[in-house]
Amino acid sequence: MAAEMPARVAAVDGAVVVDFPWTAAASAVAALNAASSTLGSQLDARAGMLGTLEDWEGTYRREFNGTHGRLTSTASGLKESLATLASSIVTGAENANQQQRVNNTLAEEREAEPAAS
Amino acid sequence: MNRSAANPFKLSRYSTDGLELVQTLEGKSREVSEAIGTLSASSSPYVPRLGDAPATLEDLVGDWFHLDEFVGDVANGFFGANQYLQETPLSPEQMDGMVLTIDDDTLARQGQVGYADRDEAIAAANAMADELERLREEGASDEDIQDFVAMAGRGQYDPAFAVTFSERVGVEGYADATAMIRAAYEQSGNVPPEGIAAVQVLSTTLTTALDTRPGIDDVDRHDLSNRDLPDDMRLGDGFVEDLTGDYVPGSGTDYPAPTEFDVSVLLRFADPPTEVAVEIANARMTPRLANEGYQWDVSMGAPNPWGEYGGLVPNYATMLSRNDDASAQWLASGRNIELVLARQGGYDTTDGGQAVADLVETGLTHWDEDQRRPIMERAIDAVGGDQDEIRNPWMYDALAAGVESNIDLIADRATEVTLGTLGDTEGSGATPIHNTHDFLRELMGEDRAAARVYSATLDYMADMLGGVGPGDEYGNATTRIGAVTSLVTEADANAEVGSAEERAARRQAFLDGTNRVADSVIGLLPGGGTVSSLTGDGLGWGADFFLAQFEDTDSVNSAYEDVGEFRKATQDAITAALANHEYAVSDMTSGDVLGEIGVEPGGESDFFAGDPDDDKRPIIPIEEMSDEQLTAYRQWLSSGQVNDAITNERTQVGQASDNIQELVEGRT
Repeated sequence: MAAEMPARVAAVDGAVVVDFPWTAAASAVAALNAASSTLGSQLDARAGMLGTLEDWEGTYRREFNGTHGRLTSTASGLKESLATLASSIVTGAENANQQQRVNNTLAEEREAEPAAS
Repeated sequence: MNRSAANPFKLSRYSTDGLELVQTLEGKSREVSEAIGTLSASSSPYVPRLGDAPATLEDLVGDWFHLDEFVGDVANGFFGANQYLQETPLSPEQMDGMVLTIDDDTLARQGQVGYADRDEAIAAANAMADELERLREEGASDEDIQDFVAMAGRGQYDPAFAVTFSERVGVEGYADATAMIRAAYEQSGNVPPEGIAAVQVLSTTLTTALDTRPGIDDVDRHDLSNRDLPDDMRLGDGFVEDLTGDYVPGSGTDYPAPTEFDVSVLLRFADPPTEVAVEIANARMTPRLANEGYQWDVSMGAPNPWGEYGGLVPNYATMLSRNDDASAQWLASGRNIELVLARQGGYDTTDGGQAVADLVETGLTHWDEDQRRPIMERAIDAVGGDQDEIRNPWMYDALAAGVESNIDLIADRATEVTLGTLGDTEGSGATPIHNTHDFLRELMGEDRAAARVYSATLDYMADMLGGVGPGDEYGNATTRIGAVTSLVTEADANAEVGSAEERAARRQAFLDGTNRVADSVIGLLPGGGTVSSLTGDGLGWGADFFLAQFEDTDSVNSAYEDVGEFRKATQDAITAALANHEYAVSDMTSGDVLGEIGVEPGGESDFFAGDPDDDKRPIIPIEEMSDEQLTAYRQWLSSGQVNDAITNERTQVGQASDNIQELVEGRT
């Protein structure tokens, strides 16, 4: 399942605004998700394409097989790495939201204190 | 011997499909890199460590591209070893069911197959660069050299290998390696073929690297797939700037360190993209051509371990003439065509001037008239202007080829001014004609060139006549025929050509050829034979035909030793061609012709072939006519019928001819 950016928690009046590059993070998550998805579908496509080469034999075929195996393995791992990176950016966004909630609460408390005294 | 088996159509399909996937993935990779780049600029503590996944993705794109290209190269190897396979009509079933087997050496050579694994290619290139470093420090024997270039055996056609090696060692490294090859062999005399072969491996590697440059036209690229290379797999600007002039080796005095001669040998066997080739030649050859006082810039002199490859100008000229566009563009830039034509001497210790002549011929015969014509204009004005001589013996053939390809230009020059409009033949308005005459005169001084010029003139005459069909106007065709013919014959008359008999033999040959042009127009008649598919020699007016006739001085009409007689005979021969043409394209019947001169159809003077009862019979070729037929034919040419039919055309030919004669003779 593709990582999804949370909605940004807005800062209330008087709250310290948490520094987080929301637009850039959203672009990065979208790009990483798309790349991971494309990699996944291309791995399937390339596995299917191998049937085209069933007649190919010889030294160059063996070299092809070796490299193809390495790249397939790299691509499989990378698919996961890209998804993981997208998730970690989403987590960063969630953490930023969490801090914003804390900041908002503090601001609201500060707002309430003078009225009580 | 190792062998490979495959269906090349399937390999090719796999490669194409794979490269399409790469293109999509490359787009995704670019988006990831840009987005992560922007994100990484943030100082927010909530942005996580972004890691190296984007870089790994970029790398993967390059690796897939390289592997898919490798499969395509293997496919090309099979196709190259079975040249007609792609042109043979095959059903989809036949294409799918085919499996070919060839040996791996052939496959590698034909497909220029590099490494499957890009990382392996890069590692091999780095190893070779390291080895070059070692040899620079420790020196190299001939065995070391062979081992060294063997390291590029597989990689010379591999863009990843070639770019990595080139960026590592730079132009200086290539020059050092070439000098090292020379130094390894020069103790035992000239660099032997295996030494030259070693340089060629470096040149091929260089060519492969240069082919990765961005912005090269598709037709100019050796491997079209290099057009779509990821940017980080291309050769950088710095290398090209060094190659096109920034890198300056020793002057020759610090021999055996690399010199410009070594660089020129390396580039002689390279085939750079057009723009780079032109810049190399402008930076490395043009200054030498302009430096007329020194011969060493053409040839190494002695000792010359590069032997036949020891000529700096010939080496760069050879590199250029491998590429039509580069040849034309270089000749057109600056004063290069004039410099090449002005160059005198210095070639005798190398190739005698053949390479620069080949270069000139390549430019003057370029398929695009817009490129070749301006060079031809300048060549005519250079040779026919103040220079008034052809200095390189190989240049006669090159310039004659230029005349063949640019006879329209000769015709334009021959007709652009007339004595009547000019008023003063000494004025500069006549200079183009004077220069063209003098240029042709120099060419006509050499037999082979003269034969080609004569042949081109008759081709032009036949083309002009052939272009006027039934009901068409001649327009200025006859003026152009008269002017070109006259300019060429006047040039021949003024050329230095040996004995009177030899002059007469040439003129006889031209007149015989003109008669064959006249004969050829029977091809315009239905049933008159097809001549358009024949070559000039097949038609009896090709250069080889002329050359043979030039040597036959025994059966020549000595009257043609006199130029006046030759001019008159030429006019008569053109009249015959015009008359035959008029007969072929008009409503005139054979009966009309014979009736005009009172000859009985089917009688011994009847000069038509075929059934006497037919209306439109072909005229018998002039050389095959009997004396009676020839007399009757000449009678017809002088008849009122012919005079009425072609009086304007004949006048135009005569006026154009007189005009040229007076413009040429009238000057001091």
